[in-house]
Amino acid sequence: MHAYVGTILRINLTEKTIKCEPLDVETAKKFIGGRGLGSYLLSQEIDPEIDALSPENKVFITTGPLTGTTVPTGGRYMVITKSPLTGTIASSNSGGFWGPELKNAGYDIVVLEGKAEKPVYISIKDDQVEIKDAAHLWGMKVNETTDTLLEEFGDPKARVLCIGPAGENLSPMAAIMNERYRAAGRSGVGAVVGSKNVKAIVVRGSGKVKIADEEKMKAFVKDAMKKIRENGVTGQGLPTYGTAVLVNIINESGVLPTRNFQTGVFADAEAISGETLAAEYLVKKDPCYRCPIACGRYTKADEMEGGGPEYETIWCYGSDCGINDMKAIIKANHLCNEYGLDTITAGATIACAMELFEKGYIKPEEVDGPELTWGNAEAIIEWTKKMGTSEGFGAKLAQGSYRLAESYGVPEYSMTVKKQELPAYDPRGIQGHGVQYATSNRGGCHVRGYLISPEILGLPEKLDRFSLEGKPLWAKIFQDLTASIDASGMCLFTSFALGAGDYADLLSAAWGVEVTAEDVLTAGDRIYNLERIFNLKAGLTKADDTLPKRLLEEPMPEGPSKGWVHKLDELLPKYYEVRGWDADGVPTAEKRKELGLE
Amino acid sequence: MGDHLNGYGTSEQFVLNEAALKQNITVFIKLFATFRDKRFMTQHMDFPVRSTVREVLKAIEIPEEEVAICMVNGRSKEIDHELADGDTLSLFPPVGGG
Ligand code: SF4
Repeated sequence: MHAYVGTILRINLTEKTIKCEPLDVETAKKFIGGRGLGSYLLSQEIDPEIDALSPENKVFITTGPLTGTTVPTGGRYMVITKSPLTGTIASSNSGGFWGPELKNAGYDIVVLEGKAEKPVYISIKDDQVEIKDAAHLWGMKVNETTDTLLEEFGDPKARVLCIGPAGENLSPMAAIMNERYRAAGRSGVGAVVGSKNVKAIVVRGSGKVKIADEEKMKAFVKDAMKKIRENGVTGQGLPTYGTAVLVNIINESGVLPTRNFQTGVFADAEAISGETLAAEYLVKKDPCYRCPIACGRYTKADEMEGGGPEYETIWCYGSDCGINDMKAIIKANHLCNEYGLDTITAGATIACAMELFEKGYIKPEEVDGPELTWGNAEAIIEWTKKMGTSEGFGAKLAQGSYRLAESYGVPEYSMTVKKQELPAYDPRGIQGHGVQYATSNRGGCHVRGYLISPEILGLPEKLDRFSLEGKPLWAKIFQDLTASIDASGMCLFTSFALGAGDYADLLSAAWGVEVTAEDVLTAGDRIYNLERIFNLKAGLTKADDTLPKRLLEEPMPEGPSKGWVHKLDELLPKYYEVRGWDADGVPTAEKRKELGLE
Repeated sequence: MGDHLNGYGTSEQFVLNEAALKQNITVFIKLFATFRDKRFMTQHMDFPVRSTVREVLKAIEIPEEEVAICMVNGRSKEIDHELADGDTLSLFPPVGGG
């Protein structure tokens, strides 16, 4: 067996059974692995219409063929399930070291199905797999859970994946955390694990992933490392400043979402920038498995220290809430990690609540905590805690901004696509990125096709960010390549330096068969269509491929993107066309046939 | 001269005629990330009329090849872009994230 280790570990929590099944390598290759293979298996095994928090939902925790190999950043795992936040397919991706450890223990995939009667955790030590009582862990935050499990497991090298109180409380913004600070953050995957009464999976493996052609792999890895080191973004920008370096660039472009997307310019951007973070709060870098980029940060503010914050946490807790206090953002980030919350949805939900408060929908008397006013640092900290524990008004916030705004009859104040909060870029000034948001298979998301790269950063080539020309095709290609990178087990950030041909080379060495750049893109197209088909069966329609009304109708009020709205209605039909979908956004029979998805 | 007016300029650029008379233009320069090391964060600087970004880079000793993103008034521009009085020039080394 090469690249894959060949075994699916299936745990039925209702029946209390543990089974090992052989991995069908031919099918695996068709979808590469990770996000692709997980989406295929989920589509095969569950009815897309089920309730995401019912025992009928399943969780596929998958690795890619390059996870655990010598490939740079080959440490990713993915969680594929039906999302309680969006009702779509969810595939959340995380780094750290948990994925490689799972493969070293002998498993490509862990499947959780059914529902345990009482809280349990899963212990995996090579072929010794046990379902254990977790009554003593229930209610614990992430650090305490991790410490307790490492102690119980008796091996400090074991890797712990767990949910925090938010996942136990079934909050649709709950994340799955691993090694304390790494998160499979989005789409509420933590709530699905919580709904199964599973608190954690501890894993330790003594094996090693074998690949087909060691010599070839050595040469390709050397080449990839060279490209990563020589590339300005992966060799210099990300290592020095982490992702937060984007705060200033995005603000300078006038697309930094501010006060719940009311504007794209934040006067105090400097105070929450990557430059400020590096100068005043950075303790050390915190890289994932075999990563030469090391974008991860470890920071300290007063008594709180830990991993992060990422750019995506800084904008939503910062400019989006009108906050210019970096310390408060670091603390809110730390609390998200402890309670197991997706920082984007958590921060953006507080921002939405602040606007609802400003506009008088949320009444002061409803709010059992700090006032939800723009710039209130105490509010972002306290409300994060209360969302984490689902306490008082925090329980309402913990449902995410869509359900919150909808409960006041004004869902348009929720800056979401398919009920998932948009990330850190206002699409009114980045037209291609906006079509990508609207068509992302897991709702509002930047890591399904990062058109910021050509439209703002000028990589791999410079595109005019306001132009519509060619953008649907760019969106499709970026979405397809991203799907394949996610499926492979590598980090998406390598794509600043590597192209489809490089991923093809690494996969060929791992599999021992010729793989071309075209194969990589076709596999991505297949994965994208597979996810789309799942969503259509789950009841989503063309009407869900949209953006918040504000971004389509209210021109950007000021700054370098002033006067622009997003022109989705012009872009969407062309996007469907380049995708090979009909006018309703349904993959045509011909397209399905071409991709082998009949 | 008229070139400036065809761009995506801000209204400040209409003080152009006055600038032409002045012989000099004032540009607001914003540096980011490592460009700030041993330089400055922001500064107003004067340049002769018709100066391009290239002249600014020479003056503040940033090698052209180190510039990954060059924005004038928030819009991406090339190094040979001609600056106008009142322009804001933002310069970044290679940076990115997600
Ligand atoms: S680039 Fe950052 S997120 Fe990606 S593997 Fe490296 S440290 Fe982890």
